[in-house]
Amino acid sequence: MALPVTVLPELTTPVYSAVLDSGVLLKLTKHTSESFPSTVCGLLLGLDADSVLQLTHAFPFPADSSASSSDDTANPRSKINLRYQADMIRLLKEVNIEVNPVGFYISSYLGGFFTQTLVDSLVSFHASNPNSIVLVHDVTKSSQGSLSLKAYRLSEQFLAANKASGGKFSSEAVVKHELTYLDILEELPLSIKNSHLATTLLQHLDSPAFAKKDDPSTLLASSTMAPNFDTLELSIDPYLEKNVEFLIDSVDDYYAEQGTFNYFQRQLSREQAKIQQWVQKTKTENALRERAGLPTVSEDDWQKQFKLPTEPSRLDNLLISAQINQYCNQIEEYGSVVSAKMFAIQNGLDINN
Amino acid sequence: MSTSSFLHLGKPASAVMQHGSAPLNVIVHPQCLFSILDHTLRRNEDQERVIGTLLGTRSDDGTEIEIKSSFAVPHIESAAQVEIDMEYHKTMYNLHHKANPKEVLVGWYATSLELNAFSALIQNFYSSVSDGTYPYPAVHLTMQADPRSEISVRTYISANVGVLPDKISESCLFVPVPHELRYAEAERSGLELVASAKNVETRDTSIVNDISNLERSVEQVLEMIDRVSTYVSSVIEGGNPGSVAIGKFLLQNLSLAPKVDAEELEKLFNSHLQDVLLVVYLSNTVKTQMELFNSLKRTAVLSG
Repeated sequence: MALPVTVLPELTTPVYSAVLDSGVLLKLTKHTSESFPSTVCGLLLGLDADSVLQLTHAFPFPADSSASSSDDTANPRSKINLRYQADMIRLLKEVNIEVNPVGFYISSYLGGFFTQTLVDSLVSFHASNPNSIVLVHDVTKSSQGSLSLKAYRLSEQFLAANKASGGKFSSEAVVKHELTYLDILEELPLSIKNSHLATTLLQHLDSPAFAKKDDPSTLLASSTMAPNFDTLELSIDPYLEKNVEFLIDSVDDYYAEQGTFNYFQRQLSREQAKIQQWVQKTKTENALRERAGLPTVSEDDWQKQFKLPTEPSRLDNLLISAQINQYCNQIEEYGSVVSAKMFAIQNGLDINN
Repeated sequence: MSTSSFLHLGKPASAVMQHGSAPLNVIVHPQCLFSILDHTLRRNEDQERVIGTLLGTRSDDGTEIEIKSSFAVPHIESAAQVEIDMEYHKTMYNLHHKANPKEVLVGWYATSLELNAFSALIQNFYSSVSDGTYPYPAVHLTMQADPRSEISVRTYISANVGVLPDKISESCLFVPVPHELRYAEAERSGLELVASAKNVETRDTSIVNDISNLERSVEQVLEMIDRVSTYVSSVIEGGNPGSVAIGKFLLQNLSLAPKVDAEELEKLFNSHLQDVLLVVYLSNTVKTQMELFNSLKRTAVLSG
């Protein structure tokens, strides 16, 4: 098969799903949950083959001590981290690890991860590997029973709009490339795979020889690790409260951003009115000049006289919108689980009475 | 994880522990075992075993050691000599320390159960004064990671007992110490997910959403209640001998049921449910508002 060797980017086929090694998962959850509540990040190494992205290794980035406030999200592309990455990769190569960066992971507090830093980092990763992804681990949610880990990458619409507007995200570019807040990031299906040895280990840990014999509670459990009834927990208020709090904060941000944009639009229309006036004036003047036989002034000369205000980037707006959407989805998802639990208990009470 | 053969060897351990500096307990975190196995898979073709550094935390008196993570160290082993890249170990340790400032060097691992003269040599390096764990003993973890046999893990510390002075660098007495597996509460969900794939032929699993997770939990509870009630009725009918421990345990759990007035409880639940539904309604409204805003903006840009 004759492949055009010169076109390098073509050789990387797009990936449609990601497979995470179980060891990487444990490493990642350890790092993110140990440093909770500050957000941390790390690098993912792996391979992309047959439209599947295999994540085979990961290492954490050192916590950024220079970060001024706690709401500063971790930046995997900061200078310190880039140097750390280079050092680490050089060492990992020696122990036969695939040293191909395929993205990064980041911890999030209640799903608040739509930030400029995250998008910028993804754009930077995308430049070196178009299949780069980000894994977002929601530590708060994971401690409630079910693991919350999502894989995202930048959508095609976002990349097109970014390219067309040169990172400025003007209204036209956003609309032209049909970029809405719903599709800044696109989610990839993620699965977790054990190696054969890991399977053996898990089987071993589950064997009766390993269970503690003097504790009757282990007799009930079907496995040493399986019984996890955190999902049946009924303390629902803290989670909802925090979520609503964050939602309201985001809505506030949204209005602030809207304010800046409105200001721009007012400014723009004021300038435009001035230009209109000027053009009108020039027209009448030109008519007079023509009659007097003097050279006329071009009507397009307004560009020399006036400067239109530059449009603020629409990316902020998109990110805040996406964040609000994320909080809303979380509340809805949680609400459905909670109401199911509540109705079940109510039914139980009715039977008892 | 202790095996029966381990118990025979337990006697010298208790003798050493009286010295006070020896760890009484070694706690291994599962992610460390996983990364050792991963290292095994990546070994060079002709390599029999691989070694690496163990990192973790030590309790103040040094009696409890928690092994939290590990990294691989390249080494070459032949019949005559062993060569370990100590420079690699030091650089990696420094890098690791930057990202995990709380974790210190606690020992090393090897992926074969065999203890030989080379093991002693490496052990003496890891417990040395200059770069090792001194004054605490270094933990040596051996793991049988051969796919043909069952996985087993042993932990040792060393003692310089009965060694000739001229051979001190290449000999030591490995004293087995007990160890247990422990994981942090926050890591349980991840571990559980990994464990759920252990009986699947494809060895993979995907992340389930909340509602199906809830369903699974409820099903599990129902199954457990079934099991208990079958057991209890078989004991009552005399088919099975009763166990005092299980009886006590069940009684203890039954007494945990809260004593609340049923009507009061129902009222509480109702008001709570309303709260939840209200919040969900609110979030729905916000979402609709956003959708509307977005569409309006689009039309504004397209028409203007």
